Amino acid sequence: MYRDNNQNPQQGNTQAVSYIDQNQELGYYPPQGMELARAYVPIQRLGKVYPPAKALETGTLFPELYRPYHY
Amino acid sequence: MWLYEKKLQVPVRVTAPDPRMAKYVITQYGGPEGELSAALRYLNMRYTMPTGKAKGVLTDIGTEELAHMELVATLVYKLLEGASMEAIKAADLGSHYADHDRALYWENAAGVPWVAAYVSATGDPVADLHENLAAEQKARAVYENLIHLTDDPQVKDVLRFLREREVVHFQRFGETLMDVQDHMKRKKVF
Amino acid sequence: MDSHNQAHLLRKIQELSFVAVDLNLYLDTHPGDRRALEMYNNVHRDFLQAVRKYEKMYGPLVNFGYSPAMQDYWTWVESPWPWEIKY
Repeated sequence: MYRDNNQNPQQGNTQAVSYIDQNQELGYYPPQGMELARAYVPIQRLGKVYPPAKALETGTLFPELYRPYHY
Repeated sequence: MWLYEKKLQVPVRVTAPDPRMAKYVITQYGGPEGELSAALRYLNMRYTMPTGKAKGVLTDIGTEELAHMELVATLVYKLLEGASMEAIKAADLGSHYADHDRALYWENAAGVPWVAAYVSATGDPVADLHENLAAEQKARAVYENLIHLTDDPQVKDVLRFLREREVVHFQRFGETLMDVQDHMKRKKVF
Repeated sequence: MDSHNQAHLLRKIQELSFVAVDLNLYLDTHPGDRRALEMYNNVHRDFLQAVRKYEKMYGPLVNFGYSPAMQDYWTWVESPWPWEIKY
């Protein structure tokens, strides 16, 4: 929902990751559908899940939410 | 109404008593980014959230935080269990012992008691959900600090579990924020 | 006291309970997700089964009306309490 479609760079619409373009003097411009002055968090989509033992061990059922910390 | 399950959410083990670590860990019991703050913050905010989903998320995560408070308490309890008076004094826990013996208490790592100023509730759902996002990040950071402070792998396991839960909670509050912001936008259109 | 078996059965319950909790939080923000709903109901069944098996041997895990008192005394107050169990 918040993902930008591929835009023609010459039209000036930038993707979230494209910083090097002729709009650089205008500063970063939000991709289509997104506003300034607010935060966005992508919505999770259900994919695979861990088996129960592994889920308890990692601290989540969802591999895509696992952020290992092996300090 | 609350129901209590007579089990820990995860097993808690310590390799050996460690009063010094207990003094650090107690900050997640009664410190600013601790589980009491989290539980009370979310359980308090839920009354004035505008959507059922937000009320659900705040109630459920708030409830889970109470379970995490129990995990932290158990960790402190086990780290102190069997520790001698000498070890307690050497760990600079003498002040705590003077006021509380081996009882737990809601204080931070420096012994400063919990205060309600640790939790915010502006009544603005967007602001309050941002407070929750920040709280989850801060709790995650403190768990990382605590992981750095111990070599005990079993203690690290519990701290890692609690840290990962903060990551998941962040995601849920983020999704709730998206939904509440949409809801507030739709409300403006008459 | 058969503490090893108790910790083992408790572990199974902790695993299933945890899956239910994480699914619950997901469903709170994705209430229409049918696949998640189905997963939740499956875990719910397995969880309750594990709980009943545990409670028969070691007493109730929940009170306030949720679990029956299966002995002729109130086993809820019996040791060990969760922070006392040696895992």
